[in-house]
Amino acid sequence: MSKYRALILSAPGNRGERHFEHALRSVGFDAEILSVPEVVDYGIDLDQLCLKYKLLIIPGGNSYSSVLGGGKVLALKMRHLFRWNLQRFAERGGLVLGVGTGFEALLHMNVFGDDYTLRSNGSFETTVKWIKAVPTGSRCIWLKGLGTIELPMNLLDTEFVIEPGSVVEATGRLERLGLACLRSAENDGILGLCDLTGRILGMMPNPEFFLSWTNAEDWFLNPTRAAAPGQGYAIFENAARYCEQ
Amino acid sequence: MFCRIESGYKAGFSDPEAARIHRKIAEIHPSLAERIRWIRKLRIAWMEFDASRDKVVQGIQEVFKNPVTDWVFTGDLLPSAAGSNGTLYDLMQESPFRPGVFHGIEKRKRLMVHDEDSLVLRDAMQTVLGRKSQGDRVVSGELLLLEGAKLVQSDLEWIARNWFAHEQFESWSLLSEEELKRNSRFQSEQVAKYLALPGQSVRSGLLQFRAPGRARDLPIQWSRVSELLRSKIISPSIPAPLSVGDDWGFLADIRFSSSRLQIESLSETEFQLCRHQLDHFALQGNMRFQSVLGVLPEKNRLWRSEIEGESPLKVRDDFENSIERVASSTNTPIAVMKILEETHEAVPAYFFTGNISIHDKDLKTLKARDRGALSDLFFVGYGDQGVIRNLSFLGTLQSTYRHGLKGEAIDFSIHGSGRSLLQCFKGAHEEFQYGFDLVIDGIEDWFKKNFESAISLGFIWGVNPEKRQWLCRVLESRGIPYIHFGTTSLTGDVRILEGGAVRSSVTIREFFRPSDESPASRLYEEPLYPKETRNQPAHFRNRFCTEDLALKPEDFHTNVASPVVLRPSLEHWSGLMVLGDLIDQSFNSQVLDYLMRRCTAMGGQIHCVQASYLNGLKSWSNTLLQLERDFGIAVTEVEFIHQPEIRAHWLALQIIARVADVRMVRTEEFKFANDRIYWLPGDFAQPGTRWLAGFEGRYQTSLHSAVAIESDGEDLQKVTDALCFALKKRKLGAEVRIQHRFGGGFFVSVGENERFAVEEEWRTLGVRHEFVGRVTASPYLVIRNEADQLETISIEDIL
Repeated sequence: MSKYRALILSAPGNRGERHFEHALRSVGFDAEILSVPEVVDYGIDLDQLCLKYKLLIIPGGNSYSSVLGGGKVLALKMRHLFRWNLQRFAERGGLVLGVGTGFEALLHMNVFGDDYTLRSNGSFETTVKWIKAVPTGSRCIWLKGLGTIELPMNLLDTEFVIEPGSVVEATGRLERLGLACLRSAENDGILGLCDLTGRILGMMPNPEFFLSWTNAEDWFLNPTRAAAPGQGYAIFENAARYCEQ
Repeated sequence: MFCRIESGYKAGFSDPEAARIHRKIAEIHPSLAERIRWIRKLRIAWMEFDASRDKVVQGIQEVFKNPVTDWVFTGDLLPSAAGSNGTLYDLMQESPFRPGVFHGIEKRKRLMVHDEDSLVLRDAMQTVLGRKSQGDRVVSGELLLLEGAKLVQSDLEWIARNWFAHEQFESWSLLSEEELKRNSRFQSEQVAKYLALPGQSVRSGLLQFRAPGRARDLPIQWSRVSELLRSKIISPSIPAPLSVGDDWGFLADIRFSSSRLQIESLSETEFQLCRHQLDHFALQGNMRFQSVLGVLPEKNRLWRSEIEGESPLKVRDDFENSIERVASSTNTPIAVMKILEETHEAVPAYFFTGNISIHDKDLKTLKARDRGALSDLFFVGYGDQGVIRNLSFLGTLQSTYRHGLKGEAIDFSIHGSGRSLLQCFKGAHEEFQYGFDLVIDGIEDWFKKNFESAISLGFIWGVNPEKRQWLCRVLESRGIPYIHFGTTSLTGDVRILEGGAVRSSVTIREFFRPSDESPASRLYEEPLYPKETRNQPAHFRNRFCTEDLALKPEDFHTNVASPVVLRPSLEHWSGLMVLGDLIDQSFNSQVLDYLMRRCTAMGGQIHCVQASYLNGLKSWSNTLLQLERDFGIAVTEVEFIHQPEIRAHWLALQIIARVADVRMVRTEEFKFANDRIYWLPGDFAQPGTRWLAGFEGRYQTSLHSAVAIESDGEDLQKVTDALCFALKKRKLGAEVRIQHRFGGGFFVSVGENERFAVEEEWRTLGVRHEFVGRVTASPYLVIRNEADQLETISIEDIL
């Protein structure tokens, strides 16, 4: 398989870049981690991004200490410093995955529309919890063909919020266009959104932390599967398969 | 452009963070939590950006506005970003108990405290604005909005102190409902006040070249300095001053020097501007005044009137005449900084100190032929603290060392790990027995950090100068950090060189002297007392010049009768407190003890004591030495005159203390009726003294006042006098129980609300304390004595 290049954008406070790098390399991408100043130094504007890279990852964590809300400053950097327009990148065939606060950064960039955001739900939970997520619809390329998957999630103290003045319209839009592509199996809450092209996915669970079956909490109950890939791995395989096509 | 931004959740959304604060208050103080009926938290940013209004508005819109969940209050910049009114009134309307009684607690990070939020905000704004400017500033804070008809001020203070603000690095203030509803706090002047650096309104014109806000490492504009000096000359008849060229060493940071040292080796000295002394110094050659200081107690306790002592007016005349004479004879520009005239007692007293810079040619310069270079000194490894020992790095280092030995490049190696540089030097007598030079150009910070504190991982290598370049290449190719910081020499001295000139030096014999009082430990003149610097301000300059002391911001003068000068640092609110006094021959250790205790009572951390003899007696030198021994404080003798002149036998003494925040300096007067009065023993070995000075604990700011008592306070009269003096200003009284003798110490007063926290802290830290009484509203001091009899004194009468 010819190697496509993937860019993992690293901002101060982000985490999981190495996991993404490992996952992408193992499915055949030539992954590269670049920090914000490096992107500026290398002059990677929208044209360069489209030209050089097939895939962009925005990891989660606490980018810029989550001042102004998670991912907000990173979104400002992408929009004003890098001059990136991610919808345009997707239209030209690029894939984008934002996880955790990376998802929030995508929301702040209005990739999915300007009626949605994430906010604190008041639980202040900082632990990691494994949740069951159900891919819905067929629009999203990243989740194509996946059944219910179990993934770890860091953003437990966060909830998905829709602009109170336009709840009906915004919810209808999500349903009608199939943009709410990932939902919780427990309460049907929205866990992930994709854009109209299906190439941009923002999600709250962290697939990069479940690449091998031994990442699961109870893997030892089924030790024969120790060498099997984790369920998060399938998302990256989908990306590789799409690029191959 | 100045602006203030407040942002918080829209009225329709709950506020989880505010609810969390409410929950925590409910756990500790359930009755108070019940009085809070509604609570909200908002984020605040005070900003100054060098950009047009339109640009800034656009930036705010991009950075702060989250249209789904947040409202942004900006005064009149972005009215549409909030509710219908565009003020906090919109948010208050959502309170369940309308119209309600609202209160605000606002907190902000103290200046020069590391403020991550403000850095990120500034970065975000600069990203949107598309350019960066040195003048861009942001201070972050939070506003707690509370509703509760039964909430009183002490409740709000309790919340602010205990739950909302951390007083070590945040300051807070209360806002009334009217202030919250108005938009006046968004005005540029108000915002500028928060962002302004402290010295801005009070700085002297002469300090322009060290203006606040300007980075210290900027090159000084000598032409500007020259211009300022010309404009400040006392008399227009003085000949035109020399042009200030590069050959004049104009030293920004003058230190106090002792006249015991060889005058030839000093670049500056400090002395009193008595006439004959000026003449004496005028003979030394080219010189120039950098600043002249006059700081004097407004109320001199020991002032003996004009008949017994030299008239202060005459001293001043002598001073001015002398300056003019020196100026005319030496063709030297003279700058008078400020003379503080205190007319409190109608008979002002003065003493003067000043700095002189000697021509650079008189400085000892290091010539190439004098440099007996044997080995270059390299520091190899990590100098930073906290670097984990890395075995692979150590292996690389060792292989490089073997390589260097084989190539005859390395003469000797000293293990530095876990030891300070000073210990390394001292532990290698053989290598350094003929002396060595340390060149600190460009690496002064590194030097200061590692000179007396342990190095994490590193070696000192003596390198053959001929093989130096080869070794540097080897080190660079292997990625090993190194610093070339000096050479061994044959001069017999240990010298610190800066810019080719000797900055300080001791002989090699003194350096290796086993005594703890070796001058080597003073090479960097770190403060000798106290050793622990827990509350040391973040960025404090150890070397201060007299200019710093001369400035007296009127707003911060502490006490009606206190000869105190407060000087906030140019960069933040920490600063110096100078407490000076003139003392006659009755000077003894109790006097110094009392002065130091007064500094401590006000919250100062004693830095040093400086003595200037207006006209001294020789025997005092022994006294001073004894005091240094007893207190562990460096007493700087500025000038000795062994031949006493008639009538003027005074010692001018200055206690210099540093203060973490000059705004928080305590005063002596009792503030409120019903405050509780406690007695804290005040020996300098007591934890109570350390607590009052702010070295330990965090509730010192809860005290309303602290009164220092003299150590010979066995006499009840002195205790009574001190209490009366503290009660006088506010015309309050007190009921106290004095049933035993009080030695030196402090009376402190604390409010009823704060006392539990303070007492708990005292118990935790082992601070001895004794409740002695309460402040009362009527101006009478009622004392219950040992025999349980009441004695009532009218405050007005006794004073």
